[in-house]
Amino acid sequence: MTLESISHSLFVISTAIYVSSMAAYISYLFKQKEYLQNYGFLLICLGAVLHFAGICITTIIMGTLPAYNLEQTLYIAALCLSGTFIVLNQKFNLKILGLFASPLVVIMMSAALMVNDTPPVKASFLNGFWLVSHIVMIFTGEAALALACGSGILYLIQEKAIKDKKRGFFYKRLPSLDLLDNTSYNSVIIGFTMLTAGLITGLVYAKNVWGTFWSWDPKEIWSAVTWLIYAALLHGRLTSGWRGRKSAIMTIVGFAVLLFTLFGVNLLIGGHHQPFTK
Amino acid sequence: MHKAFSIAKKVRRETGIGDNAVSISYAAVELANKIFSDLSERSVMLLGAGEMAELAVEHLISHGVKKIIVSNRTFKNAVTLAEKFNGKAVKFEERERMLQDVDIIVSSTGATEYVLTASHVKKNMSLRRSRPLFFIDIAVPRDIDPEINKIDNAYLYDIDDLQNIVDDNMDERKKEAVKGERLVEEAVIKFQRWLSNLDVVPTIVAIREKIEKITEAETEKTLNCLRLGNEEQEAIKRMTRAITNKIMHDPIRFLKNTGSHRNDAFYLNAAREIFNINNMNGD
Repeated sequence: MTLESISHSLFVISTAIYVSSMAAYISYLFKQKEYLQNYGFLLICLGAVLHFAGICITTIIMGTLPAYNLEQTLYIAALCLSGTFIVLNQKFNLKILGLFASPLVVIMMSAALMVNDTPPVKASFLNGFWLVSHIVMIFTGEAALALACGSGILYLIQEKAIKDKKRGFFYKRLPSLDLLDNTSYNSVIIGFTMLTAGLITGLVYAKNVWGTFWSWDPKEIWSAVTWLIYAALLHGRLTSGWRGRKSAIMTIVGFAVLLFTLFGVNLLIGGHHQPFTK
Repeated sequence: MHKAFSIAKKVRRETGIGDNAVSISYAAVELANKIFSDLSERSVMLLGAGEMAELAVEHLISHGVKKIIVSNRTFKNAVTLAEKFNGKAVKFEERERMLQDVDIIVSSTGATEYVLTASHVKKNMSLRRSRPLFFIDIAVPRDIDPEINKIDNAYLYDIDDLQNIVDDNMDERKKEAVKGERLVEEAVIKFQRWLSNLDVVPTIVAIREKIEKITEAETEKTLNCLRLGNEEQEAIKRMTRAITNKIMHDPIRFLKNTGSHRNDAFYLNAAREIFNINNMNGD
């Protein structure tokens, strides 16, 4: 058995575990039994451990962090998401967010398993501390912002139920508006911090490789747009008390732009990040 | 008795009978819990007085709300009520400014026009940095401008809205009650079956069977070691059977007729316990 096949089977097994975690969270939504969400959380932790082992093995094979084609990039992004969810869930205890995180991880993992494997093009310049920290921080930040978007969506659902005085399926099952709003806000703070750090390391890295911090690459421009949206959201919250509905909508819009920056730019426009998503 | 409690628990656990509020004041608390994450950090302002409004405030207090503010057109009444709730009394004219600090407003005045309007709330919303406000309007005619519900982070429920919730919950509870009745009936059927299992004849048969089985097994064991002739073996077997019958005679006679005023079920149960006979009660 080669190392490649071991890491591949680790990815397959962890995907299966993520799927069962998702199933546990979905049945938690319907049955509201505490043990179901405990199972869901344990499963996602187990999945993340195996997933991490798989990435470690690929790292050993490649000699550097594997993020050279779409498949590898998706594996790393998915691990960052499950890891961030595990940390945030421990910190804020917002169980219902598993309902959002686990399917998202499953989607990314299955996409990674299904994409055509373009042989990773190893370029000598893609290495070193700055690049690794750039990738890890950007993806962790994006994962936190994805969770912020998730709690934003749940906030809007719950807010509508309370405002319209029609208490439907979700009203009973979702936590209070306060909790959803705070989780979203805290996730944005963490996500924004990581994103900022990730962008800075990216700039430093660009300086090392291309000799300039900023080269008006489409990816750079869209990253700046995304950053500005979240900066505006935090600024609004701190100065003029943007809360609740407004900030929930902003986290969703912000995440949509972020997704475009992450995938859309590479697929539709191009730029110097393009090879990593082929 | 113990069984009755465990069935009651089962009914609560397996049906949603206690899930929903079926009183107006409790419905208000339930809503507050869906808006605020921790009621103990929140404060409530009571405008006016009235049994239902006071009940709602009491419910909020029992669910953790600590800071209470009371306002009334007659300041003296406000002071009296504030004392009752261990809170603070403010002048009625201060009610608008209080919107900056309090989180929940329970209103029940006899006013004919709105005592709080949308412009009051809009003005104070930015001062309170858009922290959510929850208005509970128990007054008829209304005390609080319905337009307030359209303002971001402000939520208004009047007495009709709360009554609707209670009605919905009542329907829900009735449905769950059917489920609960089924659980109770099931338990009653099982209990009856258990009682009939305690009948005299099966008990006696079971006790006799058990003793006979033990005697036979032990006799067999002894005879195997002794290497006796057929006749001797038969004699010993007869003897052990006679011992069994004589020992069982009095207990069985007693069980067949426990006396006219005695509790048969009690003695039967005791006998089954003493002889450790599995009573198939389907527990």
